[in-house]
Amino acid sequence: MFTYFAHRVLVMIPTLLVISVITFIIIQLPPGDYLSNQMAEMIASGDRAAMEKLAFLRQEFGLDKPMLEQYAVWLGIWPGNNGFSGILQGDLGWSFEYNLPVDEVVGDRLFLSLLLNFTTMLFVYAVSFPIGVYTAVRQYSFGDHAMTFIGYIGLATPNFLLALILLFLAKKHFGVSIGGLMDEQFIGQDMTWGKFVSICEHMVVPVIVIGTSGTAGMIRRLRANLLDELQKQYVTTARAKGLKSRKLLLKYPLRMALNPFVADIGNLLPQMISGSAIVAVVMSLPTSGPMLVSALQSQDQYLAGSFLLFLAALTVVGMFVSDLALAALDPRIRLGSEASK
Amino acid sequence: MMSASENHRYPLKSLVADYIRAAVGVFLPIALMLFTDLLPLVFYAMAALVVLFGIYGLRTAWRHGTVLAVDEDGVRQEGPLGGLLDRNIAWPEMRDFRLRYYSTRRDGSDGWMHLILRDANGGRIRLDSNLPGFDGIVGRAHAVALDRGLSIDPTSATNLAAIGLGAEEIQTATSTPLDKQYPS
Repeated sequence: MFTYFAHRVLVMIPTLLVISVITFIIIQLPPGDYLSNQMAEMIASGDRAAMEKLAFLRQEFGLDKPMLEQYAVWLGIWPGNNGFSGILQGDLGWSFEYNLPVDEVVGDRLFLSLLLNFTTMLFVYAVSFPIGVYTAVRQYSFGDHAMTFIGYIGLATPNFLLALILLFLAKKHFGVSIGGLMDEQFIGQDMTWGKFVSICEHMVVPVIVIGTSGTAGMIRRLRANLLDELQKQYVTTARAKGLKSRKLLLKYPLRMALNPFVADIGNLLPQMISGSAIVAVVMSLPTSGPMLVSALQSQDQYLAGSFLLFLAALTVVGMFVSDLALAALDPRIRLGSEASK
Repeated sequence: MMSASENHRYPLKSLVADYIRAAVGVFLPIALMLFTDLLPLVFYAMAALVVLFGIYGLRTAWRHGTVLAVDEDGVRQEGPLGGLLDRNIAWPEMRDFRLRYYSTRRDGSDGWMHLILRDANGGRIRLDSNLPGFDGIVGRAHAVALDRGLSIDPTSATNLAAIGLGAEEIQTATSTPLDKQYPS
């Protein structure tokens, strides 16, 4: 397992590097940049000094340098105008749109995004695991049918629609606004116990909204996998020999059925992040999604790049955790793969 | 059929890739730590990588100097440290047999296998499929496991089937005592 861990880490590092290259290329792909777009507007309005100002700012921010050098400076592996000052040094760059360092613009949005998505993931697993096991063990019971019905509704309902419905119901019947991730008095304040409690209270609805479809999908997968395992010959043999149901269930079938459940961690994260971006717009959540959309539209390259890199890194880490868990749980050769080197 | 006693070594060719991995994993983070002014969090992450791949490199070197002797009595792992960390498992005392498969690829291809043997005294020998004669050692250990009525978990059974072993599992499944098939 140690060898696998080391190999997997070594795979993850170039993956992150390639993602950072692709991210940088993507944000550079549209013609021009934020400054040239701004300057075009100034020239159109008759500002004669605009060209000189543009040249100065392009030099100041290193936008006149080749793309490869810009990338290396942005990552922090090549010295720029201020020495080594990039992602690896904790300098996320400059937001042209807000005219502030990116880390000041971002504030606690990245942390809140992480918190929201992590909590959603816990919610998905905490809810889907017992229900998935129950519906498989009690197949065709009333509980199974009821959970299956709820699961299908969860799968079929788009997140943003559920968010709108909950917003409407909460406002109409309870007179409360559930938008945002904290009460207004805590916005921009340092983290305190009161702020933390407020975040927890506001997070309940977004977590349910973002996590519903994932939960429903997980329940269906776990149920199907466990039913497959429960019908295998070794289970029949163990039953015939009088092994207690609970012990039998926990020893092998559940363990085997958990594989796709665990493997889905990696797929669940990007789905939740992209899903939460839309929900964040609908529910006015101060997460990374809406700001990322705005930064991409205005070609605010360092702001957009920081968000994209963060989200990609989160996904890669999710896949890493998922692969490790899967290798620990069931290191079995899969169909179509080779037996040995 | 295996002879009375056989010695196996990891050839350098099969370990070159591991040495390269260890070198890259150690020297790249060190270069970043020395030549760039890293954020403390990133610095500690790089230091952790150096430790991780340092251990990985030492393990590779240890495997490089290890001789695995298999005979009628059991299996012995003799390392390069003059008896320190040497291990020995006698066949009659073997208590656990596990065959694991790992791959870093999405489709599960191009992976490697680990055979883990344990005895009643807590002794443990682990070898991987880079070792020439690996399949033969697995076959021998598997035969001993069957003779002793040891439980073969479904993961090991699947991996055994992949290298052409383990058909006997189906035959012995009903004759193995329940407490050995499903040890608590």
